[in-house]
Amino acid sequence: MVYLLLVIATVSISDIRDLVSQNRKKDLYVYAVFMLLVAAFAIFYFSDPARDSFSKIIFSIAGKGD
Amino acid sequence: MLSSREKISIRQAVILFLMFVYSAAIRIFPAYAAKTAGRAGWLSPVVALLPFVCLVYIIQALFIDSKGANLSDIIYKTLGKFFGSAVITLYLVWLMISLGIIVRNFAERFLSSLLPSTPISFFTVTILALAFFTLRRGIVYISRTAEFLFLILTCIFIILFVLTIPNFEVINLFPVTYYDALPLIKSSYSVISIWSIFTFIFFFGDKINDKEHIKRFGLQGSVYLLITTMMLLIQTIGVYGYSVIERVPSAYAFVVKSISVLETIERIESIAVVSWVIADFITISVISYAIVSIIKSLFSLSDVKPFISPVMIFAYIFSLYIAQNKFELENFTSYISMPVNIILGFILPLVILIIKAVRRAA
Repeated sequence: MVYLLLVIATVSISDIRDLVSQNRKKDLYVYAVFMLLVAAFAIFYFSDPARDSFSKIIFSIAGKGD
Repeated sequence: MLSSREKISIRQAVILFLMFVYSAAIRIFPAYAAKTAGRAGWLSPVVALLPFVCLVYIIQALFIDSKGANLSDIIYKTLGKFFGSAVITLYLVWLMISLGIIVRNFAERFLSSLLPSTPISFFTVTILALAFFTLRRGIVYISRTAEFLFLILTCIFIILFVLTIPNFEVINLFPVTYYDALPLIKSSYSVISIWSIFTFIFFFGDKINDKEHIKRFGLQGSVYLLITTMMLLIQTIGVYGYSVIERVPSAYAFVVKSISVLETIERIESIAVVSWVIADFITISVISYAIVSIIKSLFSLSDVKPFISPVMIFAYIFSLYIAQNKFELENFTSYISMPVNIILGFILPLVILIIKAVRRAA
């Protein structure tokens, strides 16, 4: 998880520098929100990779789970 | 000549779609057709052809007066800002889920056929990194690469088909009677669900030139799809019979493994693996580009390029989270992916076209 967060941070810094240099504020805000959501998702998944999968959750909602 | 060097032709867009279909077709069609239609399963693309031709006409009609637009623009124009945003968000969520499924399937294919003890992340990170660096250059580069790779892919497919001919058993494909009509309609469901991906290509419709020729190239593509899908099903059901194919996890790989040329050249499945990698690379690139194009339209952004990295990182994590094993992944594809693809790929574009026509008449 630490490596993935490092990758996210590195890629974000590179992309944000590009966006700032081009003065695209709206793109920057949307990008930051997306990257934060992705980082949150990474923490959520890698904190317990053995948790119920997305398919399992969907099937249990649909009443097809075990 | 193209009006802009940043755009691709409709012919290139159809080639992207055909390569997209190839990847899913070899994974899903043989088992599903064998299971639902038995020995008549090889005829299921014939039944699916009519709905696909209708889809081509629907897409042509949607773009008839909006040649410079993409599908998101047309949805906004037809449904308004609020409902348009809701529908586009639905497409965005679904395409992101689909991307995770495709990436996971790419890795599972290697794990089950060639390299079972390799960590799954090795495959997913490699293909996503490759797609990431290609996508940064834009859709034009991917289309040109796809145009060239499409020829190689078709040649590999035809050669493997020809090499399988000595193993065919006619009894596995015939007789087909009128009792097979209903099972054939049922089996065409999987074919239609994959062919409905055609709609998703038009989310980057603003990057596609000469959209007045959608019908022409779409119909040419449908003939190609009909022939190649029938070849795929004849190749699989024709060699081992439907009762075996419906139980085998990777039917196409299983058939290719059985090829023997003059009893000297055998185990040529590595050639098929090359074609899977090519097709999956294009599939992942195309769907990622469709996703970033939707994000661009949804938030009225100026460029798609910065959003490739979050989408790729999401795809990596979601490909692990989607399912804990191959069984869950296959169930998700059968029970969720197929119907949702039909709803979003076939039914919604038709609804949008009807609303557009009604609003124009009012």
